[in-house]
Amino acid sequence: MRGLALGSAAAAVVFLVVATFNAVVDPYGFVRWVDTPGFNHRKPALKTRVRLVKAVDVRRLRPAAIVLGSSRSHIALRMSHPGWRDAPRYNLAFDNASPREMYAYLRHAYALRPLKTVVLGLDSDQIKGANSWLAPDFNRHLLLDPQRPWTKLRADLAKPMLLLSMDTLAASIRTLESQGGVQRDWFAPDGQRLGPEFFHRSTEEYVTKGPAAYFWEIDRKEFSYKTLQPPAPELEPQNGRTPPGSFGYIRRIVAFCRDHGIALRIYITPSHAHQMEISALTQESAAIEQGKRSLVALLAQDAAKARAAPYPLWDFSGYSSVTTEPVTADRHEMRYYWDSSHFKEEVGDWVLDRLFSTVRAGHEPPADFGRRLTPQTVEAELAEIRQDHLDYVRSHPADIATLRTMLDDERVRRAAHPSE
Amino acid sequence: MLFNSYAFILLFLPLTVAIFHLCRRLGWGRGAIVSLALASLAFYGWWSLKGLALLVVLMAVNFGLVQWLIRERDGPRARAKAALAAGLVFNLAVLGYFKYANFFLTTVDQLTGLKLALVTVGLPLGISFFTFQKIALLVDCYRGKVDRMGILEYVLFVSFFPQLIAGPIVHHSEVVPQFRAQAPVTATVAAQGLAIFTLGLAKKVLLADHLGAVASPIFAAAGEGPVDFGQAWIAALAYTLQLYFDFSGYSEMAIGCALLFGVRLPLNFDSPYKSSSIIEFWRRWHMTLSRFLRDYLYIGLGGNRHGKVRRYLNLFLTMLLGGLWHGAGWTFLLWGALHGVYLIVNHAWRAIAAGRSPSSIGRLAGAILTFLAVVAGWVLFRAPNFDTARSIYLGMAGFNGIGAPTTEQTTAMMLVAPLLALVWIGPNTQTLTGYVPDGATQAASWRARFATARALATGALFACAFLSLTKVSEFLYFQF
Repeated sequence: MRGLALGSAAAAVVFLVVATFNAVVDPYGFVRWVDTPGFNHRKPALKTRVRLVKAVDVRRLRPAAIVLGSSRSHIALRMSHPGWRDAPRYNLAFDNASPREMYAYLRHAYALRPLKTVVLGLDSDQIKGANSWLAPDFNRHLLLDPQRPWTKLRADLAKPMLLLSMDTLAASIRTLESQGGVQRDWFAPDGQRLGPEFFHRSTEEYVTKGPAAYFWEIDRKEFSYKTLQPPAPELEPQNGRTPPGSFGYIRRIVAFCRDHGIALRIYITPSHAHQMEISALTQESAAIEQGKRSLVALLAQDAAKARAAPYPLWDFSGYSSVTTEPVTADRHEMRYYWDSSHFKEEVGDWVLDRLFSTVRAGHEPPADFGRRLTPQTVEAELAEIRQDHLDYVRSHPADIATLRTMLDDERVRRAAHPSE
Repeated sequence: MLFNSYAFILLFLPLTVAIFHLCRRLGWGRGAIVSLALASLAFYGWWSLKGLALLVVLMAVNFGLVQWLIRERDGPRARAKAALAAGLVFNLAVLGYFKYANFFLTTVDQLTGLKLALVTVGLPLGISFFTFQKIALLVDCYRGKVDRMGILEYVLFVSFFPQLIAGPIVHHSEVVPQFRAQAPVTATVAAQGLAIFTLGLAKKVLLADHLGAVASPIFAAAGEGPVDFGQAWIAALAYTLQLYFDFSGYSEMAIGCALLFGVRLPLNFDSPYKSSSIIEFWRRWHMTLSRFLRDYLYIGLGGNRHGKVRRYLNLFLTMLLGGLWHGAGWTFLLWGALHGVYLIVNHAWRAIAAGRSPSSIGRLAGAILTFLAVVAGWVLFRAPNFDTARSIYLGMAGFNGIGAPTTEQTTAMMLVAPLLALVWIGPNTQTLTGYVPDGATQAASWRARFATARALATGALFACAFLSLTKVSEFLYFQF
């Protein structure tokens, strides 16, 4: 018995020391005992483990309105935009979010407080029916589910367990190591990643390489993602079955919002025209078009079934004066874009203007920015985008030639290294 | 659920132990066995309810066959033989369908180009292990070694959760009498069980997982192109250590858990990398599988009863099938064949040496040669295909260049080198804890071993392992 008692005491001491250290340094920002600039105020884990951070952080606010989406929405959609009616609000979008993850976070947020408004930002990739995967930092144990009350207990237990972790210990040490230098907060209390503060950090490639080089670098990476075979999706925990593709989860999101009386507003993100050209070069345009048609049909079916007005769907991904902004040729910043994927807050505000029908005097969006997609307008809109694409190729031969070269280089590299 | 998970350590194990001992304290021994059997089924069902349904069906059919064989014990041998044949065909057919159907269909496809549709079934966890255990029981019934078997002890024998998924593979004679006897579990035995569990857990999460992170990227790179001398050796050695710490760690967690219920499981590893011959290696590595292959396959094929040539052939076939048992793939088959050849060479060498005991230098040379042969085998075992294995072999042989070690390689070797020293000269878990499967350990001896410093170290080690559970990884041997 003495040996057992000694062993237990030794384990308890180690647990206590590690948990206390992690709680004080608080690398994920959910304990909040200590928040001292120069000691633990800056938290690198907000970038590297954003799913974990937001799963816990959103519990603090228990929002009535949220944004779901990828890093594009995470960076550009302000929760202080005047179009929002409900409060509190939280930007629950995060990097590379798949519709499967968005659906889990939607349920999580709803279990905290019945939601009134959801803005869903979809990227072209997500509507073309790709696999819907889970990122390594996705942790379902931290998420609540309104139909499974015991998930609250599970999440309540999972939170302190995070303190009892070598991973968290490593994150704590990284937090202490990253406090030097001057840096403004880039993670807002409402969940938004603040673009200017984030991209202007001295260590960001946007600064070290300059906006133009960074823009082209992201284009090159986009080719790399598109030519990479995606990992097989994890089986669904509820039934052990292969999950539906990304579109299947979009369908679930729409049905969930309808069943729970949530005002859902969907938009297709306004990435730069280069993204459209990259999709065209990788033969994805037809799948994206079909995805838009399917989305329109899904919303029409949902409305007919519910005998209600269809949820609005706005497409900002076409060629407009915003999305065709000339790519900067030097170290000057572009007005609308950080790179071809991520648009700035000004563009995000215009998106929300359209979604909420807000009029901000002196800040109106350009007339050609965004089209409402309905069964009546979708074919005309797609035809217009096809024509605009041809015009863009004719008017931007240098850009297109560079993108073609990137694709050729990437194919050669991918043939040699299929999984890198 | 995994042994190295919060659900198992914080919920399942404490709850199961508490209910089991509460039943015994209340004098309800049968209730304790029922609770353990139900917990074992829940343990398996946690992964997949379909898998549990299959396990229950297999148990029901096999229990019927066991009863049939026991009834036929004193009857005509032909009927007993028919019952045994039915049992073997049934179990091997199920194993074949779930584990080897797609391998077979893919091979036929490659040979004929018929484009056969593959079977869309998942591999039930631990099917190779529990199928072998059921087959062993049927054979023992046929041989008249089992005189009775109740439904409850049968269910617990085939589903006992500590060893259900990845062994040790046990004989009914090792555990069923223990279920019946219900030996007392003193604080000393519980402490020993927890210490063994802790060492196993630490091997898994503190060593094996980190070694895997070293080996896996290099094996992946080898599938895409050449790897140099340093990389190839680091990959081969890191995997050699990963597999040992992973699998022996799992076995020790199983032994430790079982001790909490007063059940002593057989040892599965005995410092295998200290072996000075391949014959010795197979007596120290996955000992319960070696024993099964010897008793039920090698001896079944005729063993050494029909001359030297047949003996070598039987050895080769046993190892070939042993390779296939580990996985449905040509690399596993070749790995088995390689060890078959190793064993034949080793036996032939012994015959030439004619009983002369080797000098200490000879033993050292034997140990080095054995280790290198085993490492070479593990490359095949780990590689997903022959191209990857070839790339690693060429790298190890220096055909892809020998450069100055990179920083990454130096860091990897700083992990690998001390662990190599540990497996070559360090004590193993049974030495540290005094565990012996036949129950001969003296409580006083264990108390002495679990003195203050060791108790504190074990507690701290458990805490460190527990803190490393965040990234749940699966045991390598689950796929076999």
